[in-house]
Amino acid sequence: MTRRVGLTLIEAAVPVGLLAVWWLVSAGSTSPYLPPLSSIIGQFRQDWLFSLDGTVLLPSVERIAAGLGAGVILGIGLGVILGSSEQTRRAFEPILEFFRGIPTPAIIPITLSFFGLGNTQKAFLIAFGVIWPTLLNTVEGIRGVDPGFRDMSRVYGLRRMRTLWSVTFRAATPQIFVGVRISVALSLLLVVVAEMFASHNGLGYFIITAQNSYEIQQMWSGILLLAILSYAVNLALVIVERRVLYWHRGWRNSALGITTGRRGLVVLPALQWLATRLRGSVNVEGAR
Amino acid sequence: MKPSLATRTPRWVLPLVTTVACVGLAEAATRADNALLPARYVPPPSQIVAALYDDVQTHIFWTSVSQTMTVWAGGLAVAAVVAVPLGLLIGSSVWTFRGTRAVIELLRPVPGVALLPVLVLLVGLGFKLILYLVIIGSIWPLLMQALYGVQDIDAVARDMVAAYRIGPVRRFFRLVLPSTTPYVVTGLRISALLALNVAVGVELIVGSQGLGYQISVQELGNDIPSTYAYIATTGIIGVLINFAARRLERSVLSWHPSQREQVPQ
Repeated sequence: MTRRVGLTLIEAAVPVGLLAVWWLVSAGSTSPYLPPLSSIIGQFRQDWLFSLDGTVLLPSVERIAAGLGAGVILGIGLGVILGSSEQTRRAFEPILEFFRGIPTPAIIPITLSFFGLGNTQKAFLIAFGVIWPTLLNTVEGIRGVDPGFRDMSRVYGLRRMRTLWSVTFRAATPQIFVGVRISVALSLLLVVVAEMFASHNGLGYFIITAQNSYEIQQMWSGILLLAILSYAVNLALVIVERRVLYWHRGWRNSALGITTGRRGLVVLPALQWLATRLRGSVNVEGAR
Repeated sequence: MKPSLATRTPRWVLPLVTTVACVGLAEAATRADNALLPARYVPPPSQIVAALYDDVQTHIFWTSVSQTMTVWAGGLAVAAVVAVPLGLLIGSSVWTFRGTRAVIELLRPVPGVALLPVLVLLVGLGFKLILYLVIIGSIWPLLMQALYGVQDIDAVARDMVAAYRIGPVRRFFRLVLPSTTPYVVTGLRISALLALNVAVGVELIVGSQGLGYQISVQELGNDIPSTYAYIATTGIIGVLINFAARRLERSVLSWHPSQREQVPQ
């Protein structure tokens, strides 16, 4: 019991301690580029908490949602098709490998000449980037499904579509989520790069313009907001993952012998989410 | 049963034919008078190849390639040297694991490029800036995979090592390293492509050196075939990196069960 309390305490104490150290060390900072944490937070409150500005956070969120949504849906759809037919998969393999190899930021200048610098361009860019990791992991997931499942479905007389949806696709979801997790990280990177390169709104644009005009506190408060956004997007992913993968072995067994059962003290409920997430990823990513 | 047409032809025929057909289709779609995609935006593949042929004879092409590859390799190497031991250390005790978990989970999702403006102010616009951002960008998959790997060490093997009182050095080389290598190599493969993404992206934004910068230079100069040729170059590099990473995975892990059995089909 003391061990459990100690572990929970250390888990809560380290981040708080680090923040305190940052606060204290930066308090007397005279460097113009590394302002005191207190003034960053003051700026943050002034910029975001009391005036939710629709030209900074909202465009970035829209772009991520549209691009990620379209890219992941297309990637899974095409991945299921390619994964179910060995001939089709081999036929398109060289082309897919090539497109996957292109670092997505490389096509930013081209997307600009196609779509201008609004939401469409950024959403397209994100969709183009995330489609490949999703697709390739879906293909691998579908191919890796135990053939026994398929035989069994046939024995039970399931129709083809039913087998595909309830058996093959379901069995492939842990691997598909490996791709989706890479896609989410990539979408955050891409939206920031695209907005920093050419945009007239969005979070990346805000941060880079603040830097260009030497509004250092604003720049830091933008970075803080981006960190919170990234965390929120990831949290959304964890929630979806938990719903979809609740049956998977990785969600129930944990590394380091921590079981998913009731915990003693619930100090920070958010951390409990993370605990499940970290544990879940062990087997899922290990399966690669 | 008589072998069907599909089994009699060599394996490489189908991919080759499909690829050639797709390229031909792209050529037709961009070349025709009333083209589906105007060549002004999408040049025909033949023009891209011709532009690439011209580009590879220029000095600037090879300078850009070597700049991007240097920053990519340097960043990835530093990330691996920092992240892997750190991941092994954190993962080897429940106390370090729980102590760092919240911090890691808070920082990990944040794209490293967020720090670009700060680093611009601190180190300027050159090689160092891109290097640091590549390091920050590629550190997480390596750290997390090392952490997962060390946690996933077989409990029986671990108990046996303890029961036989095997020393820490042998324990590391005989137990920890072999168990974690599969995870670390996977992390390396993910990080390698991520690092290329970050390198090209930052080069594009900062505009001081490398392939990313050249892509925007060609585009601004309105040389569209050459723009595509440079993008294709980054694609070829990406394919090579991925190919090399997979080869490495296979050669390091030839003993591991996941490599022994081909995906059933």
